[in-house]
Amino acid sequence: MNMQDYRHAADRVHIAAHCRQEVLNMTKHTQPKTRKPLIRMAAGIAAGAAVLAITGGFAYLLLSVQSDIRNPGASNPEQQPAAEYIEIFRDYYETRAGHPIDFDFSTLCGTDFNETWEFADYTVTLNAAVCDGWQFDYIYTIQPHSGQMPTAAELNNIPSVNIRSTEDPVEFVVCDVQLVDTELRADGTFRGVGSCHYTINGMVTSLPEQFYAQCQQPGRTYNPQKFLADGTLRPITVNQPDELPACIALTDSLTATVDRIKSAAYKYAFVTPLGITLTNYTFDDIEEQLNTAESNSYSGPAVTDAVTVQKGFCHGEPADIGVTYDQTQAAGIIGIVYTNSPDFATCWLPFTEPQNLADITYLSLTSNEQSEAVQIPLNSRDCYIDCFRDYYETRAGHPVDFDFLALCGTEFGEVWEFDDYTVTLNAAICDGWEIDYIYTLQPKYGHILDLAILPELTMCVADASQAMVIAVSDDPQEIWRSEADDTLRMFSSCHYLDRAMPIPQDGQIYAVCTEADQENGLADGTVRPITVNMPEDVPEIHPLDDILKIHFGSASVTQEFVYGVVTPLGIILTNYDPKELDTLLHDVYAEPVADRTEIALCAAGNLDADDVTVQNIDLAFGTQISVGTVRHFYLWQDPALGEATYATCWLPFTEPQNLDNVQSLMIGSNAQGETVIVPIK
Amino acid sequence: MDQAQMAAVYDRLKDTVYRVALFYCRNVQDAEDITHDVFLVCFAHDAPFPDDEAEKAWMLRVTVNRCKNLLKSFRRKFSVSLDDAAQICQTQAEHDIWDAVNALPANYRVVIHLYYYEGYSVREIGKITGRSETAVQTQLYRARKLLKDKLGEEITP
Repeated sequence: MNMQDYRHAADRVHIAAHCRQEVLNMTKHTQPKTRKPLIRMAAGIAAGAAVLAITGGFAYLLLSVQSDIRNPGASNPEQQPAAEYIEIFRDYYETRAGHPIDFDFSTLCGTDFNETWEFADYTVTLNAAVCDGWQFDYIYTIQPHSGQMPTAAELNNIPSVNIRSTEDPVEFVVCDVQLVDTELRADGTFRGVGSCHYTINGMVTSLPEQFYAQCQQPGRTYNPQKFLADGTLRPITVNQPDELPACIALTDSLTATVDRIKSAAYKYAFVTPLGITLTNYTFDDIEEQLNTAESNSYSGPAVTDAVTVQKGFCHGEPADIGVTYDQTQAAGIIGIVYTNSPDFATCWLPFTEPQNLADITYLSLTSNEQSEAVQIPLNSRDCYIDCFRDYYETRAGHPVDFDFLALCGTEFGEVWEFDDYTVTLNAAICDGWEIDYIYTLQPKYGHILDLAILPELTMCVADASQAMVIAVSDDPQEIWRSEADDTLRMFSSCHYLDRAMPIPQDGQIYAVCTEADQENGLADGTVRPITVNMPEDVPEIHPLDDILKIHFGSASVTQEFVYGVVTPLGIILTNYDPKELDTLLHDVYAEPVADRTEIALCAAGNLDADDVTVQNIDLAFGTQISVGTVRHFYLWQDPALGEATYATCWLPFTEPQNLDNVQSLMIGSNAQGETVIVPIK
Repeated sequence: MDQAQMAAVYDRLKDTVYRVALFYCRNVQDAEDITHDVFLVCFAHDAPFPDDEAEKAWMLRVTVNRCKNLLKSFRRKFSVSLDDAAQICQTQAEHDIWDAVNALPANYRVVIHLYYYEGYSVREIGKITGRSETAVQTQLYRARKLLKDKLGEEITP
């Protein structure tokens, strides 16, 4: 197929003739942009959060994203809002929450704007704002030039303030605007309070440096160029949280009924220090609806079924977070529901006081429509540890009692951005021979998960010249997939085989993330230095004192093993000298070595082996170590020989062993009458 | 820049900008809006460009950025895209390659267009699209692979 045909067709594409005059006419009225100086926010805040909006009238849609304010930006005392604004915010929150709230709004709300828009009949002033990373609440004042409070009918046509995250038509949702005053105050003004929300867009990975405040009469078509030029749209800066956490899929849906409104099974959560937002939809779910459905929204306080929130920690009993939303509480209970369709619902559950989310492992929610608690993992290490445990127990074929929390001392958060995916290295454990790690693949907006071209994440050790020599890696395993956005959590494992390039004692290795056809390097960030926890003694491979034959029943094969490595987690047996394998192992990350021959992994996985027993022969201990059956098995095929030549099997201990005082282990298998000694030191 | 200069710039680059916007967004109305915006931004640009090529590349970068923003926009309309534009194809071969290119993901479409139609190098495309050369190479590789899968044969320049 010739691209010349494409060029011929494209040559016939021309912009409509009327556009020329439209553009040239517009230039006669366009003024250069003027912006206020940017005020850099706290480190870690980046530009460009994608948000959305529906404008016009009071039919608003709420979408959501959540954020995790660990350290809300410090307020500038000179910019602290007036006490009256703080009280308005407090009233606003408490009215919606239905219970007292002990937020420090003077810290949360660090900006006093005093942006003023003049209209024929009104003067509108934006006074103050609070932003928790997901929710943006603001106060504005309206002064009728007539000196009279507008009638109810007139209120629908007064200018209102919207907040946007960018000047482009990627906007905020204005979901709720309420009047604070029903009568004019002494200064001839009345006040309104508005609330905007981010979208729950999986691609939102950063927060904007600044927002834009827009004030206009209803019914005008949004035009950023024009609005910036005439002052309808103005850049503003607000305090921002440091981090923007992701949408969290609940372990199960939480069904809650908002009295007189609807019953919804919430599936996603967004947690900020100020509260939890639950939704039953994602950005992708509602995007098409937003373009096709009538905006038929309800927003405002409502009475929900009882929802109890507890916070849990990795170690220790769950602690009461002190928030229970139920019908017995005075002033109505939380339940702000925003929908643009009967199918979509959002519910906001504010905390009584700000929570330090960094200390909380998970939140546990229960409603009286659901007997079991639904968990929201905040500190993801728990779920990673569960993954590690599952992985070990699956391979071992029996429960293992490792302290994975101690083994997994590192939660990385290394992120690689590709065109189609965001890859995050989440956690890893290392026993000195094997590195197991978990990473997350998140398809970016508009891209379909293509398993054939997923980026790969591997671990390497590096020589002085930074040439990579990688251990043999398993194929990654999919361990979790989000129905919401196709996010995959993958588990992978690297094995230490290269004796010339041991894993450093300090655990400093390299994570390499590349697409299938991509080169790698330190300079472009595909290769990143990381540090994993290491055992105190790096295990070494020793020759066995005799050949150990193990019969793998399910494979009808008996393998002879002659080398052994002992780690606190288990024994690794091989039938080859790792140095020998290293000369054969070809790896794409290694410097080219002329005499290397690529060998292929021809079998790997769990094989049923005959019983293997391991006994600690140190007299001081003298106890048998339970290892169950051999489970994990690798065979590599040397193309030159045309047969499976190299074999590895792993015998995990039931619980970690303290090998400090153990000189050797004794292994016996029923395929061999004699036992074999595995030296440790 | 006076009106005559603006008109000259518009006449020189209108189709270039419009095509990229159209192939990225696959929506005539969006492409026209983006073209409007891009030229308004260009006309408001204070610093002179060293040459026409630099100006063209700068405008294409603005175009691509606008397109990316639009694709993120919640208000983007789902449309029949280039069906109307496809009527410009006069032969079956043109139809086939046109449909195949426009079935690619947006970022692949624009890379293919910039590479094969505008004749930009990988490095230049990287500057326009804000991607590394490696990323552009990857996109080209994948786009060609997808085109080959769809058309059943390799594409030739």
